[in-house]
Amino acid sequence: MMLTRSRVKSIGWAVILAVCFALTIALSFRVNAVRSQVRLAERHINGLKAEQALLETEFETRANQQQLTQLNEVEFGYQAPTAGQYLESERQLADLGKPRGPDAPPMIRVAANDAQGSATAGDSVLPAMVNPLTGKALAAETSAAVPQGKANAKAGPKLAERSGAASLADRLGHVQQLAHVEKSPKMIAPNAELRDIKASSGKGSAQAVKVTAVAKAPANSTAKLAKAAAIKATPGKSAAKPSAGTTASKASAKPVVRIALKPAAATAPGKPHQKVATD
Amino acid sequence: MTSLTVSTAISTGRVQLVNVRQRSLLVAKLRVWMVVGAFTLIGIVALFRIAWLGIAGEGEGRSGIALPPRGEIVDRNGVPLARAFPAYALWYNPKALGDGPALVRTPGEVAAALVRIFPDEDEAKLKAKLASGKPQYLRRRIMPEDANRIHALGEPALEFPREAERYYPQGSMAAHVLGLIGTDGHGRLGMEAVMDKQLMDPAFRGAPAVLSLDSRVQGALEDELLKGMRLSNAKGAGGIVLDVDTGEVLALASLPSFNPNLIDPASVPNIFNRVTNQVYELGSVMKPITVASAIEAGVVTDMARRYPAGPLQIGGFTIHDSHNFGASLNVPEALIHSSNIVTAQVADQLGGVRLKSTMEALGFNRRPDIELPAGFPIWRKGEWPRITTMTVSYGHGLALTPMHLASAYAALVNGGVWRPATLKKLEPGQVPEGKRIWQPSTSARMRQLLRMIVSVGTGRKADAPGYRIGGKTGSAEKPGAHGYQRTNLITTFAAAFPMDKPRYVVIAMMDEPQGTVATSGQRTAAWNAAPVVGRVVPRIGPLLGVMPDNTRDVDISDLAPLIGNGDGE
Repeated sequence: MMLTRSRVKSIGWAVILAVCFALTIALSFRVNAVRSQVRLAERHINGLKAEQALLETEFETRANQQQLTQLNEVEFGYQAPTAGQYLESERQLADLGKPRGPDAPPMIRVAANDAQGSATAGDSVLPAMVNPLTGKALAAETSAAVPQGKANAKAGPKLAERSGAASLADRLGHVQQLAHVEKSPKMIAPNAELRDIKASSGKGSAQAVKVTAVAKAPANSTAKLAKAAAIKATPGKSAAKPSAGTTASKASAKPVVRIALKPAAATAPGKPHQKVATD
Repeated sequence: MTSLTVSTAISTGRVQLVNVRQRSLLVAKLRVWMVVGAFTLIGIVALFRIAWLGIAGEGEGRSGIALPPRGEIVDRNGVPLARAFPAYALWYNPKALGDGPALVRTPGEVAAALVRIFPDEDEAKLKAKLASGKPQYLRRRIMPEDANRIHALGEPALEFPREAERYYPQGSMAAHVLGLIGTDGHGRLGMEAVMDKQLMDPAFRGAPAVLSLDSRVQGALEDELLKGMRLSNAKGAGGIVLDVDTGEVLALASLPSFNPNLIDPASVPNIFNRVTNQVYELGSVMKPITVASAIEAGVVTDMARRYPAGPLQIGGFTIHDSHNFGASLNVPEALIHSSNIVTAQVADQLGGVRLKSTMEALGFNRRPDIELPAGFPIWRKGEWPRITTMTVSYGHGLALTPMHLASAYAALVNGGVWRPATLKKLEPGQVPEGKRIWQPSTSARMRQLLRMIVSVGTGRKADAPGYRIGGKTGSAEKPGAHGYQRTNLITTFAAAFPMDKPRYVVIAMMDEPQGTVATSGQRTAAWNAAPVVGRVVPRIGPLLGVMPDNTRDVDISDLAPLIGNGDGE
């Protein structure tokens, strides 16, 4: 049988047609397969969405307004903000960083315990107390105020000599946190306590001075420091053991107060309290 | 058979025999072709179907997330307040074990075991249900752990199908607004009932229904109202926070509340909504409305004008003040000290017709404009006698819902435009135009006066620093069988903040507060309702974009010199 030209042509067309048809079928099958995969994925997504909604509902239930209010009352005690907590403009923000004016009261140096008085009996070895209201040293009200720098120069070496514990390295390595605390009536409380210490030391009694550290329960570091200082102090003098009893009290004590007291309760016994005890 | 064939062949002849054979062959062939044709047809149809499916895909449209059985309700920020939750139900299926006895153990034993799991169930009733042999619900909404414990009982008849239940994640919060649904799945109360059609309609229920409530504001309002209610030993309390410019209700609370997730007999009386269902004589909170009407009408033009403040005799009826404020008072002083006498005189000059028309414009003669079912005011129809005008001016002889009051105060401070209150969130373009009741100048004057009441007057306890609250106290005696009861009060504090540009009205109401240590033995609004507002506003203000600011306030310098000192009700 002879294959004529036209016959080959028509067979060729038929083959091409058949191949195209097969390809179309294959392609459409493939498309359908992908579609069904998409459908499955959608079903899966729906399931996950439902699960998400369920979890969200559970979360909303556990964290509903009433629960949050109760939690806040018991645990956090957050309160509505006051006007002072809002800054409306950059101008107000910049106002906070304004340098202190010439007539502004001086900052109070509360954490510097190195400012002792002279080592003589009756004189206080505690930092010169500054009345937060007047800005003047309390001592200035009774006698002429000794410049703190001089007092330091006088008392420092003497103390070191007496105690023998505080080497130069100790003293140099002893970095004081200088807290510049703004004038506030809160400072009165620590001052009053410091005055107690001063009074007992002034009597010259060899009794152990009880340092009342106003330490909040969570302020463990303060208490620890005080204890450590007390331990450090014991080998220095044998006459009396200054016991730095820390009585945790006054839950109302503000952080400001704590900073102020830290040197008085914790680091002060390291050196000056021995002095107190022996005099 | 063979003999029969042979005999037939013999009788008909050979030709006929061939014929028969050919015919049967033809029939067989035909049958084969028919079968082949049928199969081919089926094959072609199948191929076409496959091709069609391959090209067009499955006929069913793709669905997104499955439609919930009932639409969600969310607050204005999208916090879900009511949604479907697949909970377990306890279903009794007596046919679970076939035709034999329904239960493995006796109904009594099973009932006792169930009561151990659910102590609040009635054992006798359960036993009766189990013994009846009818398939039914024993309990709905059981916890998964309870379902496990029931499973451990080993009773196949106790089934726990998972059903989509309506669930309110915030518990009792906003319960009076949301309402609840019955066992048939339709809303019974609150917005569930109001929007029932929309929530059930498949066309709409895919998208949540958005309420105007703000759940944080609602929570704060309920919390503070509850505190105030406890401090004053009040029987109940109600509160509203309303947007003055749109009429959207941001919070609506009625206490004591109920938990829509669990309705027990004890909570049924609490379903009653004090804010919209009950009308009260609200007392002195109406005075600013009277004064505003008088200013608008040109009756009060001079704030310094003094009115005699002695007891007022009108037709055998004497109008008193809570105590003596001296010989005379001007209008700012009358508001600050809450003087009935001066307000009555102002209303008398204004006249009943004008006062009545203002109040009608404020909607005091019809149910409040809110989606919830609401109470009808006690409203005197016809021409008001002189004494009615006077008593209505200070809030007696006219009983309204707190909702009326909130809308009226919104109009009082927002520049004088009254808009209906709504519980649906409004898009900026949907805010109704409203109708003008007062001129902006009157409204500005009222803002000054309301602010003065809080800064120096009876509302001092509501003064939260920096929030510029203004408002009016109202302590009304409840009417009893024998006239007004001196010790049963409805105390209200209607306030708005911030007064230099009012954004929200806050209403706090106490039902029968008592004099307690916390309220210094007082039972008037200044001691129980006003402090609630003073505590609510700082909590909600920053959330609503009103920041406290001590450097701003409404200017009252022109009124400040007019007032003396003294205390009022």
